[in-house]
Amino acid sequence: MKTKIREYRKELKMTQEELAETVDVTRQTIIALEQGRYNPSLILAYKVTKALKRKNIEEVFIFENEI
Amino acid sequence: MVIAKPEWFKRKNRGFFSYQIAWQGAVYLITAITVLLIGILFTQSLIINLMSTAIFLFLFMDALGASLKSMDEREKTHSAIAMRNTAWGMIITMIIMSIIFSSFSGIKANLSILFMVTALIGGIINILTRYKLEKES
Repeated sequence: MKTKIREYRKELKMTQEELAETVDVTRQTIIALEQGRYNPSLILAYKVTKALKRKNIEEVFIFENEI
Repeated sequence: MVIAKPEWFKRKNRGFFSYQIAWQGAVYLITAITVLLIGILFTQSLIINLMSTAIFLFLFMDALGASLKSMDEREKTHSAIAMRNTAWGMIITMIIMSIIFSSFSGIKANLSILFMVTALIGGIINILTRYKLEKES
């Protein structure tokens, strides 16, 4: 799954560590999410979306070709 | 968790090979292992041996529970897969070793060796599985 986490995180001048702390996961999980190597649960996707100050999950996580 | 607290075992963000936990967690684990070693190596008393093993198992399970609680969802998935593979590996190892012990009369069946080899194989499988999963996601 592609994500725009890195892009939005950099817009907010937030480090991976800070985002990880905000959503209560490890930095490795943020790295895996940014690289599209891990599909998060709906709760984590929602937390990340909120932490990046976005309204919709689809803005951050791109679901194309996943179904 | 009775004694151990999840924050003692929360993984610091340093990657797979340098698995760092808080000093309280390290002290807790060292204490548990010390109790076991003192109870087994430095006394011949069966009661003390059993008691130290029971205390170790209690502390270990407590730490395991706290450690699981400190993980995020990705780590929990990795842990569950690693534990499943470990369990299967240990079961298969025990079966193979039991067959070897029963097939070759020259080899004396030794329970402690059986348990040690099984635990070693289980540990190796667990580490390899976690490493592979960490690399993949």
